[in-house]
Formats: sequence, structure tokens, C-alpha cells
Amino acid sequence: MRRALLTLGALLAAAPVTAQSAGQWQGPEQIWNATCGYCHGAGVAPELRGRKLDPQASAFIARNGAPGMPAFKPSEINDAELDQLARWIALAPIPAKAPQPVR
Amino acid sequence: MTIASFLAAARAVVGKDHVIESPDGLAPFARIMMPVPEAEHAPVGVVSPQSLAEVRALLRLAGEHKTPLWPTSTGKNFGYGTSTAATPGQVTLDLRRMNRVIDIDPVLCTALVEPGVTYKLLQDTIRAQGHKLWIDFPAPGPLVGPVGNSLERGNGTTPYGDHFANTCGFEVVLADGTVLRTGMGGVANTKSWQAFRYGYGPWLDGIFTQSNFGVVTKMGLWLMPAPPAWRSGMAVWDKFEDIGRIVDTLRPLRFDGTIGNCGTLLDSTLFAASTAKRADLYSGKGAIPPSVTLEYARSKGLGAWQYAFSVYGRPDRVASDWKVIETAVAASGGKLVPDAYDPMQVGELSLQTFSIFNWTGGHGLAWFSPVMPLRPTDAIRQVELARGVMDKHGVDFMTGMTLNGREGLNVMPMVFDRGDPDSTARHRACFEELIQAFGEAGYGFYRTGVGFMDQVARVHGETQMDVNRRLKRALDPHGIIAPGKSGIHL
Repeated sequence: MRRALLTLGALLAAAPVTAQSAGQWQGPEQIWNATCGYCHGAGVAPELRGRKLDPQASAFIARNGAPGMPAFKPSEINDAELDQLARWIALAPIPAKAPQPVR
Repeated sequence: MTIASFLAAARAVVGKDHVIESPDGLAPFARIMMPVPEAEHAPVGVVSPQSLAEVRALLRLAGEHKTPLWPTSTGKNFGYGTSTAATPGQVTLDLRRMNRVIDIDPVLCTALVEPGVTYKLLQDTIRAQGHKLWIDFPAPGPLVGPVGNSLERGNGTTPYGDHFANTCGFEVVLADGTVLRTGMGGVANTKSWQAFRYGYGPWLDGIFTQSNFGVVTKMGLWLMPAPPAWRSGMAVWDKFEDIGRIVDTLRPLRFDGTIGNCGTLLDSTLFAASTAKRADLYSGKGAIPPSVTLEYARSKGLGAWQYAFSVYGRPDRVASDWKVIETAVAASGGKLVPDAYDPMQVGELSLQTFSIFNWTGGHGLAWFSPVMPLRPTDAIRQVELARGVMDKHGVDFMTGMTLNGREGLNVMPMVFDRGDPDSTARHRACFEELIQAFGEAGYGFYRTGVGFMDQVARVHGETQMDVNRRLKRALDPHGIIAPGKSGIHL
């Protein structure tokens, strides 16, 4: 029983968290939620989803930055991931109205 | 020996995909927000190692090839230089791929992380493991990480807001490849590396912050047990001349722990810059008059100064501390806006601070960051001094002061359009004049960005510069690591 509990403890401790550097992301939505979404659509920078933005242009801006936006480097997000993200943004629907923050 | 030969050798260490030297590839690393030319700070190459062994190998190669390396953790450092170097011709040592959360100890409430770990990754990891632990974030929290920010001695807004004060143990690679574990980290099979900061003998951690004496590859940090209760609020004072009274009111509340966190005192212009567009409020010439932003703040129920703070602890303590603050603020002529919510003060990630980019458009941002002793005379003097210099250059004065017990970090963002050469030149001249004026008035600095490091170092005195140079020569005799950082040259 003690051994079983220890094993369960070890499993819980090892609950998977996806590392968040180039080549480790689980997909575009994870990148959006962990990065882009803190500004875009959060009242800091314009919403990008639902606008059918040109993926090539989005990828270039994310890589090189824009007024008020930092450059995201290949060690954070590699070219393939950036390309996927930009295509996901182009196809993503307009989000439902965000819930008000809990006060 | 050339940069090209170093980069060729580096490819064998980190793999060809993790070395950058093409102009297109380097462009993101050259991007800068400070009012200084990119060409003076742009890197000539980038190498991105993934392990301690690779960092050691790269330092050895850099020594052989006499190639200076500028280490970055996540490489953001908005408004302090982003990932650019103090001097031209350096290769960025990009540590973003080193992103292991090595340990989280829920008993002692500590973590051990690598430089590429972001606050977001650390928070996700803590939550996935089910621990009720808070992390203190700097303003760019989700995108940056504890190692870089703590080494820059950055600040956040919870009781753990002094980030360097809440580190515990570094692993540092010196220029010759020596791996030093500071504090208790030198003990074989150490059990207390993240529990006790000072170790035995001289305590060295400080010399590896805001410096270029080594490359930090691991850092311990302390995490805050989530408090059973908290309440956030905003104290508002209506007039600019209230600043002396505000400082006298808040200082004792910080000293006795009633206000447990590094709250932020914003003037009406920073409030306006965070929530409005400049062109919608003002179309005249020169710096925006404070009366304009005061009127705007009043229209939102705020005033000349607003102090965002939180109280934490057992529910009875929160209620009791709240009453004390309510009484003190009322006695000083202020009013309390209850439950105004700043996510960062309660352990939630946010990038709301960067709404200030919308003030003017354009990606220019530089923080002018003197230390302000928390005396009324100094608070009044610093505001007058900064406003006077900024008015002269047509630069908008605004400030967000992080208030501790004895001092405040008087962090004044300058937001401008880097696409406009005239505006950029004015902000640079203004920044230089501010450093000089504050230095002459007896004030020093919490932190500064590339382009102004030598000038700020001179304010802190020739003797400090000389001793730093002697340490540099002892630890890095070929000047491989980050030449020019904090004004430290060989």
C-alpha cells in the first residue's frame, strides 16, 4: 500500500507540463494562450482572430516585432511553429466576448 | 580570429540550427526600444545552447576566438535594451532553450530553474503539480523569466516583489569554464542550496547581478505560499502637491507590514497613458500638461495620484489591516477605491502595463529609474526635477513608483515613436540630461538600459567603476562576457 501511494505520488509530481520553447509547443492554440493572448484580444493590442489575416504577414510581424510589439525569436518559436500559428490565427473564428475578470 | 570562425566552431557545439549570422536572422535580435541607434547595440551573431556543457564549451571557444558574448535569458528586457548589447560587435548568448524547471520544493516553497524558464512555464508547472504557491511577476511576466529579471534586480508587486532578495543560490559559469555554485551550493550533495542564501564566507551572489562576471545557468528562488485571504484596493489623492503627504502616509504602513506588497503609485499621466490615446486628450505642442491628464483621471473617479496595493493573510488580519489603511488614507485627505483589481498583485499573469504603447503608437520605450528615498522632500524634488527636464525636451512626464519602506523605485516610462527620428533624438537627449541632473542632485539609479550604462556608472562613482574593473580583470581577463554591461569594461 505504501509503495502504491508512493507511486501515485510520483505520478502526480510528474503531471505533464509542456515545456514552452521552440520545438516543444503542443500546437498553435497553446502558443496563443501562453503568449499572444495576453495582449491580443486582452485590451492591450488588437484582436487578430476572425480577421483572415495573411499568415505570411502575421509570421513576419511576430518574428520581427512591430510598433508596441516585441520580436519573438527562433529559440522561443521555430519557423514551422510560427507558420502553423499564423495559419491558425487566419482560420480562428472571432472569439466570443471575453468574460469580465473576477473582481 | 574572427566572429565567423567563432560561429563556425559554435555550430559544432550547439548544432547548425542554433547559430544565427544572416542579416535577416539577426534582425529580431537587433530590435531595440531605447532611444539609441540599433547599430550601436546590434549583435553580430547568435548562439543558443541547450545545456551547461554547451555553455562551458561556448565560453571556452569565445576565449580562444576573443569573441565577446552577451548572455540573455528570455531576451525581452523591454525598455532597458531588449536583447541588444551594450557595445557593438557582440554575439548574443541566447539561453532561452535552457528551460528546465529543475526542482519545486512545496515544503520549503522554493524552485530551481534555468534561464529560459518563463514565469508562465513556472506557474503552469507549479499548478500542474497542485501546489498553492504564488510567483511574483515583473510587468512583462508571461514572456520573461525569473533568472533574467532577478539578475537585473527587477521588481514586482507582491510581498516577494524584490526579486533578487528572493533568489537563493546561483550556478554560474565563469569565463574560464569554472562552474561555481554559490551559497550552500558548494556543499557536496547539498540539502540547503535553496533554503539559505549566504553559505559560508563572502556571499558572492550580488556580484553576478547587473554585471558581466559570469553566466548564470541555474537560479534558486523563493515562492510565496498562497495567502488564505487578500484584498486589493486603490488609494486616490486629488492634487499633485499631495505627494509629500502620500509618502508620509504610506511609509509607516510599509514599515509595520500593514501594506505587505510593493504597491505602485501612479500619477494621472501614467494612468492616462495606460488607458487612453494621447491624441484623444491633447493636440497642443510640447509635453502634455498635467492639468489635462488630471481632468481625465477625475472623469474616471481618480486623481493626481493613485496607489494600487493589496493586503494579504488570514481573513481577520486582512479586515483589520484594511481598516488601518482606510483611516490613514482618509486622514491624509485621500479616498479609498475598494477592490480595484491588479492581477499581478495576486499572482496572476498579465501584460496590461504595456497598454502604454498605445499612448503614442510607435515602439519607443525607455524607463528612467532613479531611486527615491521615501522622504517628502525627496519625492517633491524628484518630481519637480524630472518634470522640469522633460518639459524642456517636450517629453511627457509620467511615473509609476514602486514603494518599499525606505525608498521607492521612481520608474518613469518614456513612450515615443521610434519611427520619428526627431522624437527619438529628443528622448535620448532628455534621458542623458535626466541622468546628469539626478546625479548632481545626489540621486542614484536602480537600473538602466543599454546606451546609458557608462553614464549611470559614472554617477555611482569612479571608485566603484575601478573596483568593478578589477573584479572583471580577475574573473574574465579577456573580457569575453558582456563587455560594457553596467559600465564595466576591461
